[in-house]
Amino acid sequence: MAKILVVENDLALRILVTQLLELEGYTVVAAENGAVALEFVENEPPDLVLCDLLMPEVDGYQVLHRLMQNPLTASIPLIFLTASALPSDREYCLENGAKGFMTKPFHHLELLDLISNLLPEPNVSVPNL
Amino acid sequence: MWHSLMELLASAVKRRTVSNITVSREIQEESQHQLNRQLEQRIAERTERLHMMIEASKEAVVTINQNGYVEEWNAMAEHMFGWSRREAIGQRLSDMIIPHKYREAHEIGIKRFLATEQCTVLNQTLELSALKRSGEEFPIELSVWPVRCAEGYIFSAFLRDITERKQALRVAKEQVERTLLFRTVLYDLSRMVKTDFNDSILNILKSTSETLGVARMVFSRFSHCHSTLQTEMIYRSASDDTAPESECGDFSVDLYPQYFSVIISNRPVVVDDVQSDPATAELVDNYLIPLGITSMLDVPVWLDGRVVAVICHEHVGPSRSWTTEEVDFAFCISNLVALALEAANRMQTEEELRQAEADVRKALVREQELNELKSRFVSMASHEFRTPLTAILSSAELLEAYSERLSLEKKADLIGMIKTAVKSMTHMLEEVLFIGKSDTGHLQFNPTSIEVDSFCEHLLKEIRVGVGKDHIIEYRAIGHCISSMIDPHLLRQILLNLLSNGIKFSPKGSTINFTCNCDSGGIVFEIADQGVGIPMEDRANLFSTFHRAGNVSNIQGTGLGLAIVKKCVDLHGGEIDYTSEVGKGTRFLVRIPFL
Repeated sequence: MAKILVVENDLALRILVTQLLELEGYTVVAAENGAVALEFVENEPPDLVLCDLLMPEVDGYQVLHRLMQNPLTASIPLIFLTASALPSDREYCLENGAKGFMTKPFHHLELLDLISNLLPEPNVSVPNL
Repeated sequence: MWHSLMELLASAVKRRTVSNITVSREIQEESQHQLNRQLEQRIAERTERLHMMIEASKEAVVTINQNGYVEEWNAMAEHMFGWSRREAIGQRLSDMIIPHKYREAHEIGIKRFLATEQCTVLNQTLELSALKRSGEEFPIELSVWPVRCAEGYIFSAFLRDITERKQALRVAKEQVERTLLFRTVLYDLSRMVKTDFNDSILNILKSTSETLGVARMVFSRFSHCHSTLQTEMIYRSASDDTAPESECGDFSVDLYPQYFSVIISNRPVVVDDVQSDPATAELVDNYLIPLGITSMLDVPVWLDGRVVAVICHEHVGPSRSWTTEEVDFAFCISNLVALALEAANRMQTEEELRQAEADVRKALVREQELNELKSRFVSMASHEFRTPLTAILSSAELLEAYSERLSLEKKADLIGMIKTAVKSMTHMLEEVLFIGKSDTGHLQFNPTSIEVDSFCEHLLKEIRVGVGKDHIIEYRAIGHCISSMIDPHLLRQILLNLLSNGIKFSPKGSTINFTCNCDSGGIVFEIADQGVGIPMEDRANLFSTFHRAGNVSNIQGTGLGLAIVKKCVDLHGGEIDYTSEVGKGTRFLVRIPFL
């Protein structure tokens, strides 16, 4: 079962995204900022990272660079889920190795499509919450 | 003249006497007798002619002996001094015609001459004064010469009354002085600084009044179509004031057509007697008599091809006649006024240009500000509204797509999230509206008597269970903040925003110190956190709308909180100040004075 790291500083959105992914059968680890997220990645690398861009202290850009610089983590797909709608932000992230860039508010089906396309195996069982 | 005649006679007699010696005795006696008769006759004739000449002289001819007694006194002397020949002959001259101040010098002068036969005043023309019989002193010109005779010396003098000549000289001198004065005044006025038109006009009116000795000087301006004349300044020399006269403000062409027609055609009104002149007759009843004006000299002021104003010289008291020089002077003054008007117009135009330029510049700056404000608002709205919108959409989609798999509790949580998100959006909207109201001047300030201490306690209770639940908020009240005239709605905005900021920008678990200190002058609220601090580069725009510090861009916020606080403090007439250190914390101080 694929494990996804959700990095989001807004509590409500963190809960909501976690819930959505769990409902779709993913194992979810949630981090409230980039610093916590990088610790997670180091300790137990996830199959995919879903990350906010603007966060206090360590932000999404730093997470992106740290992941890409480390050969052990460079291959983990990283999707940004952000309040920024700036094309320049999107371009920058995609050019620097991010696999997806979604602007909030997002439609859950689009997000799920993007995630499933980036993960090698489809999920089989779906739990109730 | 007198002197030379006498010499002539003496030499003739001498010559004759010498020639007689060579003639025979008889013939000599015979012809001597005849000759003597002829000679006596000629002497008598000549003496008579001489007397007649002296009598007919236009100058007074006076002879005195060496004791100062009059021996000769001609008709002109009688006329000039008022003493008849009979009265004068044998009198001491000094008793009759020499003023007291000269008498001693006169006596000493004669004595000195008799002793030394030298004197500086003799044989030359002198200007002195003499007395008439009436005692009146008048200027004379005299020449004195001594004649030797059997008794020693006699002194003869020609005296001329030079009263008229002196008078003419005095008049000429006065005229020169006046011309010089006029020139000096005009020169000074032309060099005066003309930055303030009222100052210039006052200066001109005052100087003119002094120079010409005019009681009232008035500067009046014509309306554009020459239909009315409006008094702009009156200067009164007696009281040295320029108080306006309410009873005679505007003059209408309908009431004073004659006067208007003269002035408008760029001619002066030069009137010695206002009652009899047609140009001023129409002004007599309403204006001239009430003000006691008897003579007028009004000159038009010509500027840019038309008469724009008039300078009035209004004489009070016995009527006077204006001289040509005075009229010329008045015209020069009117030219100076025209120059002052021109300078004022130019300065006004320049000022208007400057103003217009400043307005344009201000509008441009405002436009730039508005553009910047708009872009800041757009970026704020697009960013800050997205988070709650996402919460709403995601919650709704979860409820829709996974309804049968969600427990009731989870569903309730999702609905709660929607409500919270809506509340957060409403709050942001309210902040924007609050600023909007304040910017358009619609923010109300309704101070009422509130108990500040309990107000703060109440607010704290609310915060401690809400935004501040992860922080320690320590409250301290100093002094007795029982009741003050404060707008509670605005105070809530001030304290809530400052406390929320303190909480938002400082780590969880840290302490926020909140102090309310009342003294005699007012209340000081102090809110100190241990948060991120305010970077130097953000301090200038700290209270600007939608401005957010560079180190908090990743923390949610509209950028309106401090702008709102500032506006609320301003409405209370208070002050806001702060100290801050990046990474250490920020301390805000708000002082609200008692009303």
